[in-house]
Amino acid sequence: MADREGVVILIAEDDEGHTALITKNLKRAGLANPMITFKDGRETLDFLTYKGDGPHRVPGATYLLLLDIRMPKVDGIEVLRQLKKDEELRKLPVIIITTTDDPREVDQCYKLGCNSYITKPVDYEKFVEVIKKLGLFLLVVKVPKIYGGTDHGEEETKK
Amino acid sequence: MQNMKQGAAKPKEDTAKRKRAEEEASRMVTVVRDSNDAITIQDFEGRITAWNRGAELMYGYSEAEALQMNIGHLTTPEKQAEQKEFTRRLILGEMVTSFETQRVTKDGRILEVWLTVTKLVDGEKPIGIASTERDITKRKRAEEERERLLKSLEEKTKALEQVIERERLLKSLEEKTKALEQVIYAASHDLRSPLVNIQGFAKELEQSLKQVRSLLQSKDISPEVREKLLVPLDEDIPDAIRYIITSSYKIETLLGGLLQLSRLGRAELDIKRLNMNKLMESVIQTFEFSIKERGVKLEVGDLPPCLGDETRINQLFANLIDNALKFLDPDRPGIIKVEGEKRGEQVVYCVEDNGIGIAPEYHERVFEIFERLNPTAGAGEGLGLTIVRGIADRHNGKIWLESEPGKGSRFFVSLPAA
Repeated sequence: MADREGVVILIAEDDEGHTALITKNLKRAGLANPMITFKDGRETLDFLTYKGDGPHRVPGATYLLLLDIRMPKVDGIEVLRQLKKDEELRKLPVIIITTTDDPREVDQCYKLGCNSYITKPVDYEKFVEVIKKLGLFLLVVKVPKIYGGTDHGEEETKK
Repeated sequence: MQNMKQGAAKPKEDTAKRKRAEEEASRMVTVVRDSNDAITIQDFEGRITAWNRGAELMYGYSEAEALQMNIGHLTTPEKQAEQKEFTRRLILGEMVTSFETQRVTKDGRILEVWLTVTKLVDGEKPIGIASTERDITKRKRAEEERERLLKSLEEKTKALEQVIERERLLKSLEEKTKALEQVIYAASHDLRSPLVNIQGFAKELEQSLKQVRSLLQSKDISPEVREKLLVPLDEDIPDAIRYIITSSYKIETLLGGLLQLSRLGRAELDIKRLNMNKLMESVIQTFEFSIKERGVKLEVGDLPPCLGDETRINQLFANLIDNALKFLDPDRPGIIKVEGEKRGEQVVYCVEDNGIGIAPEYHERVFEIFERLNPTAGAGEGLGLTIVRGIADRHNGKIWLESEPGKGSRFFVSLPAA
């Protein structure tokens, strides 16, 4: 399958097993995009907002975030809230992938501005199906470039 | 001559004596007649033979009217028997002390009176009954009113206490329900997570094995095939198995923690006076190895005793010490202090550490079930502080925390004083 434009898929998920299952099945669906994983909300935000000692996003690159809700330090809801507050970062497509299907939770996430909400099924066959469909979706969806942020304030286009 | 003189003196003395007696009698009659108390005389059939001014004022009957009446006319139907009874006793020569009774006036009002009766005698012969009556209606009514008000106040207070108790129970029920809902929500959420892995990797295992099987079926296993074999055999399968085992352990731990929590609510507490110095000693003993290994300095003050269930309180402090050890700052030697102070009906204990501290936004969250702020700091399923709060609650105590990120934390527990 063709490698689309190099959209970097960000996966914020504290459970390593889930991360492994998601990346495995996305690849099987045909995604060859680079994938970066984060263990908690703090790491995720640091990457996107140029804070902390870890790696940071590249201004002008295209990203897409698969976000779990229950994570230590900063949870998914808070990450979502913070991203949608920022003028540039709110463009980042956020897809919530989590174990709960509580309607209150779903409602809250959409209210905060998530783009889609997916429940991880416990049944693996269904899980694979869901991730596969997600992969196919990601293959066709258009993703904007996200600028700004570094202390120098310069905009760089991605190579 | 002398005899005649003596004879003449006696009549003069007698006259003077008689005159004095008459004057005295006259004065007494005035006193009786004009008294504000009702003073009456009846014969043994109850016919009224004397009626003073006080009686006129009290009953409204003039002397003329009264002298035609029987005392029974002045008594209420309920008191008729009583009247006859004391008359009978008086006749028999018994003492009748003063007592309260009821009378009826001319215009039909009921009076409460204080009645004193005496037997009138002429020498040995009883000739009638004298009654002195005082109107105590006002006083009696006031007393009755007071009694009524007191009773009413008592009842109102009781009712109010019941309302307050009911409110308290409702509030307690509300809180318990909320807590329970939270537990169930968190539990189901967190339990699903590892189950996703168990299922997922079990299936992945199947896939890998399928691969191996189909590869092994080829008659000649070429070097290429062998290389292909290595991927599932050395990487995929071991990985998958690892995830499965870890996740199932995690479920075990989570469920174990949940059971502990639910037991908190159900089991009976064995409340005793606890020697807290001894209790802390035994708690610290269990952590001896950890404390030595990390070079932690432990300072325990003189702790006041409290009332509690020994096992639970032991666990409470064990969890607090465990927590302090988890949040140590790697950049400086750890110091943990335990102190206690009596404050009124409670004792407030404090477990203080100089660790990494906890940010204010987490000060309530740390007590939530499965909440782990520092997952890398070792084993644990985020139940320690939830259990601590649960135990404190059951002892009608409180737990709260003060902390500054980078400086350390202070966990306070209040328990009933011994």
